[in-house]
Amino acid sequence: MTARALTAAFALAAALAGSATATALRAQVPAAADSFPHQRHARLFTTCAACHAGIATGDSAHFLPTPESCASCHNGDLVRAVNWTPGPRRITNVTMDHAQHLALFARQGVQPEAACQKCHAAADTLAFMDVGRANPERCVTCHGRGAPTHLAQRSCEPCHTPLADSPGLDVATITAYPKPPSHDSAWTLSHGEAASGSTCAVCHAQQFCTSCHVNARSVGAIKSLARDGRVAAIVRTLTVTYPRPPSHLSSAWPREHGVVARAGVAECANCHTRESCLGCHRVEERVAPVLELPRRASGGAPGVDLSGIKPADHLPDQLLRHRIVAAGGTASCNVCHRPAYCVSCHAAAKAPSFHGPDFVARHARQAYAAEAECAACHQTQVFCRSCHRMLGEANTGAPVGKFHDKQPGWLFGHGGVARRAIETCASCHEQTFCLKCHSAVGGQGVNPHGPGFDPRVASKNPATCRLCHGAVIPR
Amino acid sequence: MARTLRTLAAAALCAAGPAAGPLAAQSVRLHGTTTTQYVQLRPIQYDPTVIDTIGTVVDTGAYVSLPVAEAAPFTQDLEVSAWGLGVSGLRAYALLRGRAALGSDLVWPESDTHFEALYAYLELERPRYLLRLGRQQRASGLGFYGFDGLTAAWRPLAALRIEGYGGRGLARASMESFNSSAIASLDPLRPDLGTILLGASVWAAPSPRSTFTATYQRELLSDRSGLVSELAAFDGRVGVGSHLILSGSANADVARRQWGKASISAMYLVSPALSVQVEAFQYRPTLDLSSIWGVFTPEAHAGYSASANVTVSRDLSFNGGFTYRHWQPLSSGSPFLADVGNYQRELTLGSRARLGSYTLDGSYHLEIGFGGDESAGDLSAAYAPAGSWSAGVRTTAFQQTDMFRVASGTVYGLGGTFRTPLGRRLELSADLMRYLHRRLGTSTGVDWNQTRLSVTFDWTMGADADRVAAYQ
Repeated sequence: MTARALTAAFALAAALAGSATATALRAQVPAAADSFPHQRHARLFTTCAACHAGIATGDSAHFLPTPESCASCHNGDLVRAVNWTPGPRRITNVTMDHAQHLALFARQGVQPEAACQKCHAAADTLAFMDVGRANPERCVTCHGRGAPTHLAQRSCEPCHTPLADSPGLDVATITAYPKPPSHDSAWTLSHGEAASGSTCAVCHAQQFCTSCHVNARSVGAIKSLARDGRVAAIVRTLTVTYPRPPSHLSSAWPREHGVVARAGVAECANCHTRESCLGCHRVEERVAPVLELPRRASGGAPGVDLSGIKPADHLPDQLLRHRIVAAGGTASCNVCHRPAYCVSCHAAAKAPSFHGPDFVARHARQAYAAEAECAACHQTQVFCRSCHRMLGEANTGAPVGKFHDKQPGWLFGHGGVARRAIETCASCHEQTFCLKCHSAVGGQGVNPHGPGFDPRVASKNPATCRLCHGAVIPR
Repeated sequence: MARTLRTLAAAALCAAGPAAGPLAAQSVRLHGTTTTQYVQLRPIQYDPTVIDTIGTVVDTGAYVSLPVAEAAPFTQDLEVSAWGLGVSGLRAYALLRGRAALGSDLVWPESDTHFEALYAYLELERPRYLLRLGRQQRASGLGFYGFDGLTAAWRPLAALRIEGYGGRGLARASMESFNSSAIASLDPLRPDLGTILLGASVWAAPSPRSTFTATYQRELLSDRSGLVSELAAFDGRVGVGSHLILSGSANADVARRQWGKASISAMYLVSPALSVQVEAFQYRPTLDLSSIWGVFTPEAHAGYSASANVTVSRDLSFNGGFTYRHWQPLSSGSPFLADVGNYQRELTLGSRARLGSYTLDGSYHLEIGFGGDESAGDLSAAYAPAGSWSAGVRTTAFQQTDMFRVASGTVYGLGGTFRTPLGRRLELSADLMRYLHRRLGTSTGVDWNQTRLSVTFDWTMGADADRVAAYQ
């Protein structure tokens, strides 16, 4: 409560008393949040060491004043009493040594109080005790090695210890680490070149890399990182997404990637598991580079999931009109699909999805109109007839034409319909049934040959002709 | 079947023999799908003693409904893939299927075929060639043809592949030989001979969106006394710019010297959100020379279609299409055949909307013309949290009018679907529907007052078993 009141008072005072210059400077390099109103005490203290005696000596017990020293003024008589006790020391991975810095500034001729301003004021020109927590941007004025801002530096080690050496940092603090500007949208694809030193270890542990890299066990830079339970907890909440490299955006990539893979899969293995490729190359032993990729490990990086990807020739009507692509046989479908995939529709244990719901009840009209070629998949004599017999629909002893009871004159008119849908006839009737009439020697001699019948076909399979004509086949 | 398997096993051993050197890094992956279905059906049977009335005509004998019967077909698919057999690119692959009927009143189709090898082959693939020996199925513009034999493919260029294949032929989409007892029981006039299948194809892909395939295939009786089929197919697709795709395909019955199916289409990708397609086509079935069906001179029909897909956003899309089919007037016309038109019109509409984990699908289908009329609508809603379980409800309603049978009616259906992973390697899914059938006429047809349930377990184990997503 007291701290909040002090903060509010400080904020109000600062708002009222702040000069335009100071405000502008703060806007450029804001001082880090500090709950203590240093500026209001500027006239009481002439040195920082009056309260922070331990800074110069390295005595951490005296980095901050004691409650008693505050109470010497804030006792309720002179000034209102305050109830302040120093909090626990902020846990950080900054390796800053005050004594070392003060000694350095002293060698440069900087007065002790001005030395504190160097880091704790937003600018050297600000008034004495217009200070707060040190801002990293001030550190960069010396430590930046050319980098204009704190996070733009490519090396963090001079000031920060690796995550593994900062056990006091909690998950929330690590999660809140700011992202350097270098880690932009393109960073994922290019960070490999930078991931060689110990800088990564300041923020990252091995689990962070292994959440994406399926080949983490074979990448030296990843193996050199320590494992850390806090990072493991963080990555468990992350959703891994793999960006597509520019080379993968080309429409020709699906056809050309094999050449790249055959030259070596070391780079592919950063994102792709063997399972990634098996989304298309269903049979791994066919493609040697696939076998060189790591397998997806339980609990490891998922790897790029390409299982739903479709090649360019799989157009929106692929399911119903894939014949043209499928005509290539082993050249096309079998590259990606196992035979069982085709069987899942073409010889399925239950009705395949492309037939639509309730197909069994609704297929008669489709069969008559040959909307789909039943015989392309079904041996009509076996598949259709066995079911039609079971249900009593096939010719099972009823008088001729009795089943077709909506056409009372069926027997005399069925020929035209038969020519339009002869496969439908065969789904119920045996050949012997038709030969009762349409046979030259054993039936009624009714000629079944329609217009355009070519008798030369007899030479192709005389045995069939002999079923009707006996030994003498007319020419 | 046992003999076939022994032959395959011997062939596999012979092929693997030279490779039996350093057997290192062997890996085997198993993937299984266990499906159990429960189906209620009410078959019909002709009863000559029943007095039947159709309109003003009174006749003796009619179909009557039998009591509701139940079927519970059980199917176990097992996929085995093994590699690391000492030779780079060599693997063994098999897709086996077991069937049974669990306490069924009805004999579900093929449930008495308790074991079936859909695929069982050894494959050697190298950058320039592929050899595959064993039971396999050839998918091409001619459809699916199974055979026990050899496929050899040569790839001189990445976008060019020349293949030849041949072996003992199997009945289409049935892993039985032509002269098997299973097929003979359904068609006693089938030739008592096996078949030999031979074929070749050339595939070229000059660009990512352009492919061309030409296939020639010949199937002859094993004693070479006659042809079963001699077919050719051409399939092509050309990408013109980035927006236009032209496609064409054609089948030819070489033995009969006539064209079979053919189509030409153009798809225009107006934008990633909108595509339109128009197509003109002809359909004439290509039938085996070993059956009499072809001598009835099947007539072709032609038609055109137009369709569009609109993706308003990632979560909202619509599609629609119209198809018109036209037959030539009945060549064997008869005054006894009533109201058989020469056309068929088909309209389809569909949409999908997604809101978070919820998905709403709706579709409507209207069909008028040859064969009968149908008006059908489906609506489903599903809840599917990302990467987790899903559940949904589905309703359906369809009304049918049959052109050749008094079996018209309206069916309403309500049901649900459920799917959940049980760990990374096992998934359970189930689908339940209950139908209510309101028959419009008095005639008897197969009853759709029924319940249908299917439960499926899908599991994976062995090498790379964590690659479960790839199996789904």
